[in-house]
Amino acid sequence: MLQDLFDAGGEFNAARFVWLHTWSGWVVLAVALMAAAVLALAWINTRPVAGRRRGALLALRGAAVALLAVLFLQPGVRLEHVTRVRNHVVMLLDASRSMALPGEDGSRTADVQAMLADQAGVIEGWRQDHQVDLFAFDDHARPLAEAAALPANGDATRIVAALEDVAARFQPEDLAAVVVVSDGADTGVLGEAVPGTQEAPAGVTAVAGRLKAPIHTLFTGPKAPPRDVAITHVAHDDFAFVRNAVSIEATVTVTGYDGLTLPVTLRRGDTVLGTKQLTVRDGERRYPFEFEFVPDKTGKAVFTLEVGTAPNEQITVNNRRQFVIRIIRDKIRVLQVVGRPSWDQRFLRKLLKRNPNVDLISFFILRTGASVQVARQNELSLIPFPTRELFEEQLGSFDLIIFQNFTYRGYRMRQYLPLIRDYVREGGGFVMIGGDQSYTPGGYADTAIAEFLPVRMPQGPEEPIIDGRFAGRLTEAGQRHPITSLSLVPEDNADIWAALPDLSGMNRVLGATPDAQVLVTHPRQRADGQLAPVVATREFGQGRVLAITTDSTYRWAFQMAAKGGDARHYYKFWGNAIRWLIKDPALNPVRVEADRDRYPLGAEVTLVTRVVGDDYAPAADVSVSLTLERRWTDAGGAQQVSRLPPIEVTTEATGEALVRLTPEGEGAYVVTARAALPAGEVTDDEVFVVAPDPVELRRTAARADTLELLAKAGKGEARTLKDGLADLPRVEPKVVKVNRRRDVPLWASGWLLLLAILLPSAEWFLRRRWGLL
Amino acid sequence: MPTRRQFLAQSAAALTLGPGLAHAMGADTEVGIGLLAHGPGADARPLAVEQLMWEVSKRTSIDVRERPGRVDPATEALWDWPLVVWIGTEGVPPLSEAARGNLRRFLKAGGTLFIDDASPPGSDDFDASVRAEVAALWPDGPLDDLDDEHTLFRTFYLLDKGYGRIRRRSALQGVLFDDRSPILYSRNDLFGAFGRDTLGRWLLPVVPGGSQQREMAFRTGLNLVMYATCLNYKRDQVHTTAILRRRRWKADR
Repeated sequence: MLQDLFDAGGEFNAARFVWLHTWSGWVVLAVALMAAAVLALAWINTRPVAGRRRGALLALRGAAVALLAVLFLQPGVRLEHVTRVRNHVVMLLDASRSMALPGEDGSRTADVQAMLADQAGVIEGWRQDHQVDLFAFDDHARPLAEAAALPANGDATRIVAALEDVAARFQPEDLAAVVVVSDGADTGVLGEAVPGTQEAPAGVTAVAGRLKAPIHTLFTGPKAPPRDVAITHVAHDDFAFVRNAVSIEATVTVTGYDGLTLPVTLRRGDTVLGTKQLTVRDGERRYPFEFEFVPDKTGKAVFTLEVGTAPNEQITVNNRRQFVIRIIRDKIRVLQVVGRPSWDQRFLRKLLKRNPNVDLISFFILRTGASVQVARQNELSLIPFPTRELFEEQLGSFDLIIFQNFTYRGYRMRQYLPLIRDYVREGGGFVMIGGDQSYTPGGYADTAIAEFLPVRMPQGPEEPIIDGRFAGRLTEAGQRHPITSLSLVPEDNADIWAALPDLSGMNRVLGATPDAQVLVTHPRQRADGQLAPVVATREFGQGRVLAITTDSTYRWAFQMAAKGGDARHYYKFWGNAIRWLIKDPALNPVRVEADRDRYPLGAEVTLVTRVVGDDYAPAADVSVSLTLERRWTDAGGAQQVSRLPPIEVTTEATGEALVRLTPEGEGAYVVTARAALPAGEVTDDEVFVVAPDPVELRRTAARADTLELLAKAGKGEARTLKDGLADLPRVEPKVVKVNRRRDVPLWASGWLLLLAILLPSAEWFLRRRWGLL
Repeated sequence: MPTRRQFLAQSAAALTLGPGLAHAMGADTEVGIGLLAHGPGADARPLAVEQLMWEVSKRTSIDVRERPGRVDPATEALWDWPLVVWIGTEGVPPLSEAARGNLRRFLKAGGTLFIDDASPPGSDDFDASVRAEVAALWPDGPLDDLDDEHTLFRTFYLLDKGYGRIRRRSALQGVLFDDRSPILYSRNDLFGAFGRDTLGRWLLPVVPGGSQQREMAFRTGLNLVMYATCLNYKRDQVHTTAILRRRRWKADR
């Protein structure tokens, strides 16, 4: 304005008031004292004068003194032409996923882009004094070339983190203003503010204080919250124990619906673990759910929690949550059922009891229905054989079942045998140990047990037992198999087997089943043209089975000690057997692992494949084929499956092969590694999830209150998009150079001199007229 | 205690009903007793082991070897009999170092030694020999009285103490190793209560007497065989239900 008044030619770009006198401070002080004295004298000598007249005289005296003071101090206007360094107006534009949700007109992002286009003139005006910098932000701020390129795919909204990025990028004195344009659905510190609070969280005030420039906010969002049913909270452990109950807690938040009923479903892969009903009640928005299930096998698994889509629901992406839980084993749960006490049972039980990783349930038949009873029941320590509890109710809770010289006959157990077969088929481990009540003498030849045993049993009249001692003979398969690997060095392993004490007695069998692996045979006895199997394995469905046709493996412990040795080979054999039967992952020669369980969209996945040889040493130059299967739900809610082309890799000297890839989209991925090893094709699976951060979409409602808190902490203005950008306060840029200057004196005016004469004259005239002179 | 006639009748029934009795797997896998050949005691109780094992086979599911073995503690034959009984009637010389070393390894590897003092009442010579021998054989721990909760007293029959042909000392003694008692010691002439002649008459009277005392002695002997094979099975079996139900074990099927 000053510039307009005094710089008609437009030669200058700055104007301000100045005092043009050159008096020293002492002189100015002396003059000021004189002026005060003059006014004091006037005050004193006008006391006798009546009210109005005194006021007029004092006013004239005061005006005259003030005028003289102005003339003494010489006020003026200084016109300058200066050079300034433009400071920065930083515009932080929200690029998180919630910005893709409905705003007032279009999406929240579209509304922001429309506003920026509409306010282009204002922004252009800012550019005269400021540099306008656009940034997109989600969990951090990053430069944005143009507003039209603003994405809406960030997995977080962390406004404070974005402001900290600004503080790190600019010196505080270089900032003119920060303008935050967002829906306010902050997932960080700011979002923790409770609606209605007047106090911004400490982290907000701290960053606002560092910026030293006003922080303005522009809110974008719908007037009413979108209609939405969202899984807003899921609590689960990353690890769970197999065959232990696992709880998953979830909260479903409902916005804009009443009287609605929807299913809430928990799935593991394609298997539904549980479904509950969500019934929306008036005035209630949050609905907690708890699912409980019992994982029945170890390994990583992808779980999906899903709530149905409501009619006309605007946001469906948050109706589903996928997560990975690693199911591990706390202890190996073994059921040992023994038909009669024996030395073999005694040593195996001792072995199992000593193993800290085994939780053992033993049940021994101490007396049969044929036993003579000479004591009352209360004089005996016997308890009933809980067949229903063990083989129906609790069957699935065991990792391994051992039938040791046990016959099911006499205990009304035949109806449970198919359940045991199903248990094995679904992943259980089973061992049958020989004896006079096992295999054919046990009556298993035509039962469901025979369907999965690795040996075929005779039903004919021939003697079912082969008597006499013999040395178990390791087969070619047995030389490599993890059960019979008693030493990592193959040559040592053969020597160990040759030195083991003789076994004694075995069950006659017809031979091994076609898909069985015979590991140890009788050295002479033949079955089906082959040496009779003593130790044989078989995979049946998901489960594994071990058949031992003798009840004398205890001799590998006890008789070994007789020769001055110890029981370590016996312990090693059974330890190997248990690990193989329960599918201990460490025994798998091919392993594939992802470096994380969950990845954000666009992140790189690292897959490490490890291969070991028969001796469990790293195997180099092994070709491994990796296939990826992706399962996801499309926009229409339909389940989709796609398979990526196989990735071929070769292991390095470390036995490892590394693959890095970027998955094409969200969903649950199953990686299968396949390698052709001497023992046959070996596979291993790994799972991971690619999904947006669930935090971003758990709160879909736009929040103007968070932006208001921010603007208040930043001493700026809180506006909506409709208010636009015009007149937002900004810090002026600094002047770095004055090119030319001109002072325009305001005191050097004839009118002021005339006034300096007229004012005392008027006082003199009035005093004279009122008889004061 | 049933009469001999009742017993024979029940035994005949058992032979027809018992599963699998016709197909033994061989002597090595049968449960039998070896008599330690050290001193004259090994011959002092003829037919006692046979009678005990016969009772075991009739009353329990154990597949027994009735005839005992006679084992020299210094030889490998010891290892064919995981349960060895040492019966003594008088003081005996110490075992040789070879025998002692073999027996020690046998016990630590899983064998069980039951020592039965069959000496006449008032004689402590065998007891002194036993204590000296056990002290040398098992320097890790002394012979201690078994407490009432020892698994031996509940492996099959519920007993309140150890019985025998006589009542010299009601408490059984033993040493402890690896959560079991590899050496057990009775001073009550346990095996003296078992022997019958070919006509079925008891070879020795029980003192103070009565069929109940002999029956309780059989029960002690049967528990001994059961303990040698099942160890502490009965200790955890009382918890079976609790184990199954603890920590919400459940089947998902």
